[in-house]
Amino acid sequence: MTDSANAEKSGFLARHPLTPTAITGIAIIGFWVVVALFGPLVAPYADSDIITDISFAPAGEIGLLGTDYLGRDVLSRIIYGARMTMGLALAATLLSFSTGITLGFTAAVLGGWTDSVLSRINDAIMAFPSIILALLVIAALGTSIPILVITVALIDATRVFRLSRVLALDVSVMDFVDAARARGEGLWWITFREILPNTVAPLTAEFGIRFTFAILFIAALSFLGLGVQPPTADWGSMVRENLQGLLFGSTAALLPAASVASLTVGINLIVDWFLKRLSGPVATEMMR
Amino acid sequence: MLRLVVTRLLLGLLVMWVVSVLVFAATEILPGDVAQAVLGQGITPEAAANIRERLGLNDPAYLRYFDWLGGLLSGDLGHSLASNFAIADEVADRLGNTLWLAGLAALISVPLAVTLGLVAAVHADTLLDRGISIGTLCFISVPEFFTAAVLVYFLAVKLQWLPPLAYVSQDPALGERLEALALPVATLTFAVLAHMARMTQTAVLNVMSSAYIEQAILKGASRIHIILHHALPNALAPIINVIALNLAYLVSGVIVVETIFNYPGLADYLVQSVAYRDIPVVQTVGMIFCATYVGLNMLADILAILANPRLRHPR
Amino acid sequence: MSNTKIETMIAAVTRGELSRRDFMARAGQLGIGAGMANGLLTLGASSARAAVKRGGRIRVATQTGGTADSLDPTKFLSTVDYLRAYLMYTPLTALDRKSRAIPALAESWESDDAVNWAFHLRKDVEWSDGAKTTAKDVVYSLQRHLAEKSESPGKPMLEQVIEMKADGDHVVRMKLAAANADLPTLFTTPQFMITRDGQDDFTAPISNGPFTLKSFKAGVQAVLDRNDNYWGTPAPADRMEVTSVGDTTARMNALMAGKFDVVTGVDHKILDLLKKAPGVDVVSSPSSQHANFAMMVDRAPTDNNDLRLALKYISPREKFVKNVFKGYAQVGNDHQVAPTDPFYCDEIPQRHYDPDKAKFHLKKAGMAGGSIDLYSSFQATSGADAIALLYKEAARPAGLEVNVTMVPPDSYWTTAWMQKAFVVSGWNARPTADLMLSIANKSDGSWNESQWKNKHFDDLLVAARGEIDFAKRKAMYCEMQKMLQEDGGTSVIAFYDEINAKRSNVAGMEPHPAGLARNAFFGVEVGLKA
Repeated sequence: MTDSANAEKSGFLARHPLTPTAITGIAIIGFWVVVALFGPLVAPYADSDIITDISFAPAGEIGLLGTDYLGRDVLSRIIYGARMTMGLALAATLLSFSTGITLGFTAAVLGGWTDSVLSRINDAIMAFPSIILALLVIAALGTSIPILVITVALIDATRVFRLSRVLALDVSVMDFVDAARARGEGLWWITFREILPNTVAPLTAEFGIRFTFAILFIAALSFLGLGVQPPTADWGSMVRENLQGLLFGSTAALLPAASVASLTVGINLIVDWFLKRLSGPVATEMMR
Repeated sequence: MLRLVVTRLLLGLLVMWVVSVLVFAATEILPGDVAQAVLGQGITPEAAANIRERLGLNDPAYLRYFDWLGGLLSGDLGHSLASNFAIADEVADRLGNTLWLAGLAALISVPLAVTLGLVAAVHADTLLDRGISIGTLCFISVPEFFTAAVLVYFLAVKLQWLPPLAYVSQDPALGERLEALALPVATLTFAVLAHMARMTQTAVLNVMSSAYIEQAILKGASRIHIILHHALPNALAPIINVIALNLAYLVSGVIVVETIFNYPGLADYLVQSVAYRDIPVVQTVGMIFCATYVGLNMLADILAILANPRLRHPR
Repeated sequence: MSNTKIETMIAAVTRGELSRRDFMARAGQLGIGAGMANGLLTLGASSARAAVKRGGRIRVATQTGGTADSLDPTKFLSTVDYLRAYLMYTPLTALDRKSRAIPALAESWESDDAVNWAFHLRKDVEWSDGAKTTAKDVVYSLQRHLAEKSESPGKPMLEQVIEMKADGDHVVRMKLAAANADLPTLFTTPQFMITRDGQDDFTAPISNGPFTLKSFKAGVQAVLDRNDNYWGTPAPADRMEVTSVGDTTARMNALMAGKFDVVTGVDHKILDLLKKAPGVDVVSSPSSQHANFAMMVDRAPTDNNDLRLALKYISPREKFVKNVFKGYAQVGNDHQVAPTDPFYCDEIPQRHYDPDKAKFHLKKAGMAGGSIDLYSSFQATSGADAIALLYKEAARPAGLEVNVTMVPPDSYWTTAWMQKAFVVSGWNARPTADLMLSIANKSDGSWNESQWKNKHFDDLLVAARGEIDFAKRKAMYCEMQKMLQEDGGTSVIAFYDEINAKRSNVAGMEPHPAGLARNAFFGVEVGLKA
């Protein structure tokens, strides 16, 4: 069974060629990954350097993309911000996935009380609007980066939990699980050898979706003052700090917002392509 | 069927109770209390002590929690710690505002979203479909504060067609209210519309590959007919679900929009109360949000089951 | 009798350039009787009013305001409360544009020893319920602050009044615990607004100010209509709407879109852009409000005065004024008496940014090449992040590494201020040097953020308070300022102007060092252009 899963994967690209939109998405993400990894080497200034006393200098006058509200170079801050924004979102998504998948599969395989308890706790956390929940947690525990990442991961994990549980409960998967149980295999073995390979495809797409959610959510939290604190460069905070300049035509707030948008559009293009290739209730479950 | 409803209801209440305890605990751990928050830099130990005494903050935590719970169950929502106003009045006011905003946004976005999704499904793989897909994708990718900022800049500041703040006087005329709400509603509509349209499209297309659809095609029915009469009814479950999710979001998650437009809704009330450590308000509004979520989800589940006979009897 | 001449004289009195006595003398020369001359000197009779028309509505947006807003003076905590207060009520005294106390409800006062005081009230001030304002009202409203259950932040300031009684309907006699020449100025504090005798519940407040409250929603908006029964010169506007818009961007957006006529709390970042924008004007007032570094002298590492001196020499003062406040500020000299204050000591040489001197003191303190933690927050002052960053950069040439932490506004007062050794702090304008120094630098001051305690300083402070001779008083304040500069735990970043903005069709909005919210003349001067 595992062999056929592997065969399925390599044949996947052959049967589902990349469309132009998917390629655009990959190009966009590739661009930002390069910026995040190597950008700071070529950035003209450090992210907190105040290069002039003039706030909101227009693009081209001082600095390629102008200056922000404190007189710092926008271009440099966008480069450093890429690292922070993507890094945090990635960390949160990885954390949410490891927790969500583990618990989701466990709930599906063990069933009974375990399933009920885990599902109800999950429902309780989901029953609260995400941003308000984040507000309370961060207000209580502080605005440090680890707290931020864990909070976002927690909220994301609930969705991942739901999806992994549904995927694992899918009838066809359960047959393999029952067979493995009959053979006397342990829980870990079942999870990793039987369930995971069959659910990789939808989970990958979900990763993309959760990643964009993490980016937007962290940006929204930063916008409300709860996310990344100044003077650290982060796209969401940059929009917040420079929003007043928009009133007078400064692009200092538009550029980081456009960066966020381009990144999430890129990811969504790929996820979209991916989803179109999947069929059945899985795809719709994932769109929640 | 009735059994199902009752079970869901009880579970919902359980969830709400758990949330109420969690919210209380969370607000308790917040550093500082309402006396410090209200007095700010002007704090003197005496004034702070007097405020705490008056508000009964020196009672132990569990006592205050059960006091509040008792009040909630008997209909007495108590008074705000910061302003001393009756929470019930304030909440009614703000709930009204939020419902106006959410209601208008829902009224516009839901029919529009479903229509767009269906159109995309009917004309699958055409330019129209791609257009709608890319468009909705862009809107769900862009942060709300950005959409709002751009709308305000062009429509309110530059062209001055609409007001940049959503404030209305007491008991405004309908026209005044609609004008004030135009931009916030537009911002929200863009955000939720995209989500629901995409779901509609995906759900319908997914169902299109089933056996009975193939049959209908063989029988010679037109694509539109198939989509509207065969596919849509079977795709209702996820569509209703995402609509419910977005409605809940409109009521409780719109803090960013309320901040940008200075709109006195419930989310803004909650955020202000957290800043003031106004615990009774935080709890009451928290409960309202929770009830909204739980209620809407429950409704969605029930409707989905009713729509699909196969789901009436779970595995 | 020449009208223009009288008006010019009145304007001069309001601006603090002509004393009341001189005015009365000249009025007498012009053939105006004492009673009438007195009546002419009501609040707000300024030449600026000629440019303003009667009628219309002025919409103000303030940056403060929340559900804790109150109509009860003992609960006034934010600038929007103060703004509303001056519109609705009449204070005992008011501040003129030279920061001196002038008559309002009290038309005159006297004291021989600065311990026993008598305030003579006007006889023509009417409450909205028809009754005349009397001494009983004064005593009742001030005593509310001193009540045992009082939650008033003004209580500590009023405790020095050990006896207060009404002597007839129009005289209030007070006795102080110790001599205080600034007592009349104390009553310009907005919390000490005079309210109706017997009123403790302010749901339906009885008022006697230039406007009457029509509607009020805490944290949202207050609407006030002109009080045609006002004792002073009537306000130009028919109606004032005071709305709270906490989000700065939203507030500025609304001003640009024409939805408000006046806004407060303009961010320095957009000042240059705002000045160029059509249809709006910037109104700035030099003020005694300031941003400062607070170093706690009772804990390491700031208990060492050499380190404190080093930190003071590292402060890039001129850069702060230029970059953070865009030139709308005055450098500080490490004590909290502002250049706008009559007791400001300009004999003390101005300290400048000097990394070499800083290095010297760091070495003496054993911290050469060391590091220190600095806590900053937007709650403390605007521009808090720029300040922290600029300071960090300025510290490098001196070999000091500064680790900056931005504390969220929610928890700043409780976790950073007066807890951490080295923080960024900020202070609202205070009407007198005595008040500022007592609150922040006296050994037992309620908000002595540096915990600097010096007996000689305390003695000087009390002595200066009771000293009636101006020159002697100034000398004492000079000595105190010198002590603070050399040994204290405060390094002033800058005394920054209060910046507000208005639409171009608004007139009568003249700068006032107390700030717009504490400007007693605002309501009776501002209006639409004629």
